[in-house]
Amino acid sequence: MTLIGFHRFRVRPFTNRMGIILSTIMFTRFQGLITLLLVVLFTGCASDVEQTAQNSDNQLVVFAAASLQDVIREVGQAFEDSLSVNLTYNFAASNVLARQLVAAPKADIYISANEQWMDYVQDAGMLIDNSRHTILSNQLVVIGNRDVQWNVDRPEDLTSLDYRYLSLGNPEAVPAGRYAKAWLESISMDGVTLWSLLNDRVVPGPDVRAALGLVEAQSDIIGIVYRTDASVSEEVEILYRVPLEKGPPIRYTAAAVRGRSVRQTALRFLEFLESSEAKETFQKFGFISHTIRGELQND
Amino acid sequence: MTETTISALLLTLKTATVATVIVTIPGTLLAYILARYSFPGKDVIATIVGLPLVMPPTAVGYLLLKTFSTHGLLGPETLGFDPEILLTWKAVVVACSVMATPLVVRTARVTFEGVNPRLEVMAQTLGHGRIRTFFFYTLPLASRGLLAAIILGFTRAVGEFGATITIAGNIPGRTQTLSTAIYSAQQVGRDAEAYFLLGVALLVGFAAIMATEYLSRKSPGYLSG
Repeated sequence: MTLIGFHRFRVRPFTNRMGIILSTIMFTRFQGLITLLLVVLFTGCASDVEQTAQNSDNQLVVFAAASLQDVIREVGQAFEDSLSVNLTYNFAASNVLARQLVAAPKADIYISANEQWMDYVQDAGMLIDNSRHTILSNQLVVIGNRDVQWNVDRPEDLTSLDYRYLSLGNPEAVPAGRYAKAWLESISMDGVTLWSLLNDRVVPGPDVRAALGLVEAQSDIIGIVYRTDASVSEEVEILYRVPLEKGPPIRYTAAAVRGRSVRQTALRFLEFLESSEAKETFQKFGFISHTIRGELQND
Repeated sequence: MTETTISALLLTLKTATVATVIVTIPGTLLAYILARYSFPGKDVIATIVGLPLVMPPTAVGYLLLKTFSTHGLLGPETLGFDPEILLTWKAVVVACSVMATPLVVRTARVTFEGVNPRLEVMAQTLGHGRIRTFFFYTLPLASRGLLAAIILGFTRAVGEFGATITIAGNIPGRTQTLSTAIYSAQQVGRDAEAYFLLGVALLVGFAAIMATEYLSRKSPGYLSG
């Protein structure tokens, strides 16, 4: 029969000292004073940050879809140079941004890669009236790792190639994934859609750039991203370009967000996105310019 | 409860258990060696083992990704065959094992350091060899702390996110665990599902901490050193 027991650890001196300090803070008459001090400190700090953010009219926060990160930075730079404004960016999948905006509207501009997520933000009452409009379009491409030669002459070839996974943005929520799924659902082979044949090989990425990254990293994975993403990567090759009339209509939508005070600067940024200078930059990156003024009442 | 939710829970259970088993046996041994012996390089080994605890999980995940990728140290090219780890449940096990190792080893080491070495010597004076002493005297003495270490390792494996999502992806039905399922549900807007999974996670965490609290209490027959 063994005796079960434990060494008791010796309390080290510095722990004793810490104990004394902590118990002073917590259990003496100074407790109230110290609590008051801490409360004042924290609220003071918080309101300071808010104040500077609210008051400076030359600070603009832009939430934009992940596929826009390179082009919007350049467009934004031109905007910053023309007026003395500072732009802060948050690039993520449009669904993530939409959910963040509805939870805490800390942005001035929201650019979504599809209409549905803009609708989501609009239905939550977060947009400034009449500021929403479609600004861009794009093209879907099938990509593969540069190290491997895949032949995709027709979309149907996707079913016969032995890649391990098809990397998309999450087809449930990420616009790039939804567009890819819509395209695959529109093509039928022997009575079933391509989507139903391929969807068990799909790796859903958190956004389109993650989907791109996966194809860059693994040679046995192919993906469907925007052609503007493929062009910024040197590790992938475009295997097939989805003809514009065959793919789903891709609409990037921009709007000004309510929540911080109505900003002239925000509206000017939206106008700037339609300027010829901005359009040139968009075209340079491979975006298709597409502008339609939208009403708040959907048609 | 949807099919993907059930598969996420089952996968989490399966991978966390496998990861815990993989980590416990060598981990306990390593902890004992670190607790009892001194040798050159001991601190280096202890540090390397403890690294995943302090590094950002995504950093650990990135390191693992590079290691197992095509040209990596343990990739298909170097090994000569394709272990097919990335983007499979095996990657989840790898990620969970790596992230749980420091917790298990450090907790076990502290436990072993708390076992009076004199008791081991006494057992040896009674004629027991080192191995017998370890299994029949040291382990029972350390059993509570080791159980706590195993529980901690298991819960860490259940809660692992950053490294898992990097090397295993988040493929529903195949590599989606409890943590990544919550992430997905939240991203897509399926709040009901997210709340349900959150409830499960809370339950697991609650049970684990309560168990470790109970285990770290003094046992009635305790002897002070």
